[in-house]
Amino acid sequence: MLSRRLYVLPFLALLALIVVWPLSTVVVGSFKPGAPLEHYAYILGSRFYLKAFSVTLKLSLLTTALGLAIAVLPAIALRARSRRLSDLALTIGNIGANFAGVPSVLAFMILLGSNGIVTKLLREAGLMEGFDLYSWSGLVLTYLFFQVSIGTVLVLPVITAIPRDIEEAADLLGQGGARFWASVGLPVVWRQLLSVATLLFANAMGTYATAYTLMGTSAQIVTVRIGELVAGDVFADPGLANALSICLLVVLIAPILLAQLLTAKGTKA
Amino acid sequence: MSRHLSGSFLFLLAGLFALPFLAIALSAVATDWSDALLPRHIGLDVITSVLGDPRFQASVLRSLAISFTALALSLALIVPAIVAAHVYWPALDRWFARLVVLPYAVPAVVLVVGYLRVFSQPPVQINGTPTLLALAYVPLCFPMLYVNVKNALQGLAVRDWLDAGRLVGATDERVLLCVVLPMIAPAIGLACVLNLGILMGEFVYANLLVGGRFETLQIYMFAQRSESGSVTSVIILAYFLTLLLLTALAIWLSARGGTDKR
Amino acid sequence: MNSQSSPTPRNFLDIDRVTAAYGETQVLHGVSLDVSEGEMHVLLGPSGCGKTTLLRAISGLQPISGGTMTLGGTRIDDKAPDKRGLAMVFQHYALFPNMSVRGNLAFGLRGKGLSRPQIDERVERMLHTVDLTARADARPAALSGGQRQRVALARALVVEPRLLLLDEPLSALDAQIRKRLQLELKRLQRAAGLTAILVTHDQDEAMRLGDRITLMDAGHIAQTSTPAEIHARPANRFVARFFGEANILPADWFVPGLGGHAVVHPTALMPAPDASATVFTADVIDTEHLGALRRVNCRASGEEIRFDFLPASTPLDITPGTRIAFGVRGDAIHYVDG
Repeated sequence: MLSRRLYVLPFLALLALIVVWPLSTVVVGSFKPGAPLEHYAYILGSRFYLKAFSVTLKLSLLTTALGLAIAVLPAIALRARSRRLSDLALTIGNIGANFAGVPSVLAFMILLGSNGIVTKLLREAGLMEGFDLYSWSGLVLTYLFFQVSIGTVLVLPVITAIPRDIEEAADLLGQGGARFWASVGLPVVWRQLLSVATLLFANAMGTYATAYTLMGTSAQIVTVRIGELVAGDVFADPGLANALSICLLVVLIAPILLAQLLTAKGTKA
Repeated sequence: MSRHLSGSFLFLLAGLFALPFLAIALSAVATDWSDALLPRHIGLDVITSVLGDPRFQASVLRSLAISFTALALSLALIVPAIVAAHVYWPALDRWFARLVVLPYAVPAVVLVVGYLRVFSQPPVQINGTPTLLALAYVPLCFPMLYVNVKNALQGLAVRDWLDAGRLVGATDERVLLCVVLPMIAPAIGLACVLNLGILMGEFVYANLLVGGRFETLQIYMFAQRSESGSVTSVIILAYFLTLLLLTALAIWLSARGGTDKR
Repeated sequence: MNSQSSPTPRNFLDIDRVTAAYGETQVLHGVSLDVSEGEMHVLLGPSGCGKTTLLRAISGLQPISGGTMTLGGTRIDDKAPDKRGLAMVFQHYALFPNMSVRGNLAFGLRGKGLSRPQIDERVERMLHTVDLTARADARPAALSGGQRQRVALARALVVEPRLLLLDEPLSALDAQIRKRLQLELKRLQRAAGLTAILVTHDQDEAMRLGDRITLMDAGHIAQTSTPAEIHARPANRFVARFFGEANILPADWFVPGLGGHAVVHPTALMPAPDASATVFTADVIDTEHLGALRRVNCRASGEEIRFDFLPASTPLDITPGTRIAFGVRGDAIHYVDG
């Protein structure tokens, strides 16, 4: 009985080798011997890195809010319809999530790049003045693609799980439709929606492929900065990369912990 | 009234989602579409040239090889672990879900920073090798496998079967292999298909750990970003169709698993 | 030593002061029990009384912390489950869903030094015994509840055990099939001369199936007796109360000055008492129909009393509120301590 617990060991060993060990060296390596906080002080004093953090944060917050809103609406619309349609939406969301990163950005480039199909059409129509895919608006658009995809996959089950009878009860009381969702439906699931939001936010903060494919190293995105430090030959500075990683981790995990604290308080009340 | 409204809303959304793919599909078969509203020629020559490109084929093979290696490794590691924790180690079992998402809780870039430090010196000097990439891919398969296998296990009377086996002198391993494994095999198969989709689409580890030294499909796609629209369209379309195929396979597998249980 | 044949044990299965615990919680407090060869012995009790633990302790699936067990004269408590010569039918059958009926039966015979034809022959014979030859290639999921139960039984019997353990083998079935299978099980056990221990929480099932019944309470044995005996002469109030319907009245109602309680079954009360009976009066609360019998709930000196009578044979005014007289024959009263 006890000896068969050994079957878990290889798995735990791999987790230790592939996650715990590397991560702990990142933590340790972020403190410079002799001057432990020097890397952190450098980051906090660097306009370059602070800008990267502020752009990434803004981008992640904006696309999380938009992505969640865009995902919630079809989820509500799908609730009243057949199960198969919801399953289809879930499947599409999953495909979208798998399509995120390089392929989705390439697709956006074909459509909306400087020589893109849609760009040409719109330019001919005299629209699309000043739109540039390789800029902030392009980042928002490409990030939104995966935020909506993942958001749909996560939100749909939450909305579907709201008991139908409370909606019918609200209907009978004359509180149907939008009023139901505003006063009952969404408040009932706010905890789950909040945790979905933290997941979307953390995912956006940590993503690399989308920004890097779209703009290369000129993207002012934290992950791209870190990637540049470890891959670039000129700027290679492992200590700084470690400290940046830890800063990213903190920014990314803080909302998750905060949300858990918030929802835990909510359940007690 | 509101039903019509939500209906047209869904229809609009579906259209918004489908339109880009139609445009890309069109762009893949259009040969001369540089200055006009609609393409002048339509043909399959770009498609055949891309699909026939040895570099493209090699990248697909590399991606498949690395994905299957990682999948096999992760299967060998996590399936016994999930079953053992489920049956013999309930205290650990309660933590398993959290352990399994650990690699996802940390951004890939951060882990890469750690890998480059840890694996660039002895005892495990595998930096820049496909071996490291395969290893990095192994934990990515864990959550899907865990969710599916654990769900399948929960519906099974594993402890009773083990008892029944013990009474006739069958070792737990024999019961686990002859009874439990066949019962969770459909769930494992489904998780493998879903994981294949995840691994084939992985870019961060591939780019930062091996880059051009071991060109996977995603690295190849990335390298083609400055090519002409039709070339990238073909590649994207091929990838999209592959995803559709995997999805169809997953749906088929899960439907079959559902009828098996009854 | 060799010339001396081992003395035939009086009891086939001898359980002596067995204790068992789950972690800190003691579940069996020195249980001793004898089972004769060919007997169907029922372990009965409320949930959590330790009856299933005792069954699993006998099988070896539950380790014991003290005491000894012998089966047919040989110690078994120090042997692995498969070396004890017993088989078990599980509550939810624990059939292997990925194997056919035949595969389930053959599973336990492999690796026992039997040849392929020998295994096949035994499996076929057992399939015939439980009348499942026609479904031999079906998976358990394709069978009815009753058929599954028979597969479970066949899988246990095919290894030719000296002792068959049955852990609530009929509890997963609905009432109709259950009654039929109780009868089938009893006939099969009698015909094969099987020694069996059956765990149940259902007193009717215990009465129907058991040659003897052991009633357990909180890890102790409350009483071991034949069904008739345990019903008529419960050893204490717990046993009396477990068999549900009996009236448990103060003993000094019948014998002035006597402590303890008197156990009187509802059918032993006579609404038209004759001279030999002690006579009481009671106020009718209400009445219920129990098939052929009529149940009267009434109250006397603060105690609620139930009695049953055949309405056809006894014209009686039993509208609620009326006061009636009833009598108890002395030999229908069973006294218990406490």
